[in-house]
Amino acid sequence: MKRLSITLLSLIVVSMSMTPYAQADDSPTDGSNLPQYSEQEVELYKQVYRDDQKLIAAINANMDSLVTEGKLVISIPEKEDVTPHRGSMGSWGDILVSLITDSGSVAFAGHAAIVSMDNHITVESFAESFSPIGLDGVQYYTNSWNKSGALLVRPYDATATMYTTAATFAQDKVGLPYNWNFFNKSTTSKYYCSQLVWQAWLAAGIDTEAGSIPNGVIAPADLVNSSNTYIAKKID
Amino acid sequence: MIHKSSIIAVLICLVLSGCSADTTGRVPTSDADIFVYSHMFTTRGGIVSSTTDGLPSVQASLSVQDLFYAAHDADYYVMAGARKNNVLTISKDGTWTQSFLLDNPRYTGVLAVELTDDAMIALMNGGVKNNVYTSLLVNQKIGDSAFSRCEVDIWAEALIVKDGVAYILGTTIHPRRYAAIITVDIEQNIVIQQQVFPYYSQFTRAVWRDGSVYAIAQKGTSHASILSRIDPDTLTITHTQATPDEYLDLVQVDGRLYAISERSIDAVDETLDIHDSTPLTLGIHPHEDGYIDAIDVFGHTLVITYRFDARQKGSPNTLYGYVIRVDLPSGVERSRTPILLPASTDNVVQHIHVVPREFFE
Repeated sequence: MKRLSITLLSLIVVSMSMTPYAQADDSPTDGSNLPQYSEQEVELYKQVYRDDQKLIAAINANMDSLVTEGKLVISIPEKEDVTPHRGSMGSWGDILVSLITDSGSVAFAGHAAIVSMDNHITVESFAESFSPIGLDGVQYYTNSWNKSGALLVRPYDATATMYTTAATFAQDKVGLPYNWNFFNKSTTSKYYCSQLVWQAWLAAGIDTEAGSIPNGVIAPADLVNSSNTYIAKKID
Repeated sequence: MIHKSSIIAVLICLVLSGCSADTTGRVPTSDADIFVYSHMFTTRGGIVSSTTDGLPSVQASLSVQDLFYAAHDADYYVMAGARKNNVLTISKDGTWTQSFLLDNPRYTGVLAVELTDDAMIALMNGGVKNNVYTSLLVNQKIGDSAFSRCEVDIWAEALIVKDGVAYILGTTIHPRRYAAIITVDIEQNIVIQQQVFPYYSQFTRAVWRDGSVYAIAQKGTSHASILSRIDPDTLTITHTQATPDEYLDLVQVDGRLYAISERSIDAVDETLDIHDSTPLTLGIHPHEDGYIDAIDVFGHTLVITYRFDARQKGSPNTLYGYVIRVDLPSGVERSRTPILLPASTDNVVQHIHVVPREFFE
């Protein structure tokens, strides 16, 4: 049973006081001079953030069984014989998730990436002020994900063509700015990290949010918790 | 009378001094390996000197992030961050220094690095401009903030510097993904030539041997390697050899070329025929499944950093894998020492660079 129940979990209250609040409108920002959200928007994001923290706690509590479950899934042959190279993880179209590190979001924790058609390169979206290479929005990054805590996530029953469609979709978005309006996940003109991954796989025909928390935001934890995905690998 | 604010100020200073890492220091070299570890997303890392048994002895904190690429010459060993513009330089006497390329910590991470004449030649991640992926070639003397730069339209996977020319091999990646080579005059900072190979999707590794560039190419999403020999003057491929193997690296030892996969070390001649294949044993026990993280060559010794998929937590140390030394051309494994780091660093250790003891000899 993949989907996790969050109702039985204790409430984790996470203060957002340390998180920079960004503008909620759709105008691009360079991430270095962020205006405040309205009080109403802050309250909304606080609730989403609490949901996300509970979901992450649930995933972590069930991690062993999720990893075991994932090992039973038979992937397509093209994805099985990939040799990790120089610290990379996964191959084209694969979803990479860290539930530890932020990409700039005020709505959730963690970060998500998708492997490009080149296994050594990922496509990721960061707010400029959070980007480890100082570039805003969707960019190419070195696939250095074979690291402790990283999760390799794959959709069930995905074909090689679907992996190609997802990877190509993400590559086509390189250069677009970061999306600070986390509820506007359907826009195709700007992206936050997990929105990019979700849309890439939606283009391939698989909804990687299905079965997770329907709160209007697509968080990295949703990609892991989705009833349409499984954990193919976890780096200890 | 001591004011409360004074106490707080002193405490803050103590905390800051305890948390901040020095930008230079020295680690004992003895006759064992040195391990440098770093975290992918944070500037937390460290350097550890080991004993001949691989046990950690002396350690220091470093403010480094995602040290992913490395290069060495006779005098220096440098490591550069893929997700942070930071460089760690280690001298033969064990002195280490942290610095930044371009003297600007906010610039992008590194795609490849090489050393020549006490200078770092590095490719930096530049992003997509005008719908073309462009990176920045930087030429910066070690210990000096002065640099020169040149923009090149390639994602670098391999970098060779020979006789004042940088040979950059990789992929055009955006808007199309083709294997590509660009040569740059590193004195003049000008692109000499560039060549795109639409038949291949990328070059992954390359080495200079006897006046030619030898490279590993790939097609599409296939992992099978195509060995290629390239004329450095015309940038044309003169020989190719399709293989079923996924080679991870090419090295040159005593003028002989070797292609290394997870299964074997294969000697390759100038026409790219494979003559001798020596099986490679990585994990000995079932719980030691893992991958080759890095390959280095010192003299006749191949130094392989082998990392486990799952670290083996212990007390007081955690085992991450082995440093495996193989003699060439015999292919005989000479030693296997553990990569052990203090368990207290478990939350920080992600990437590990092994600076082999041979560098300090």
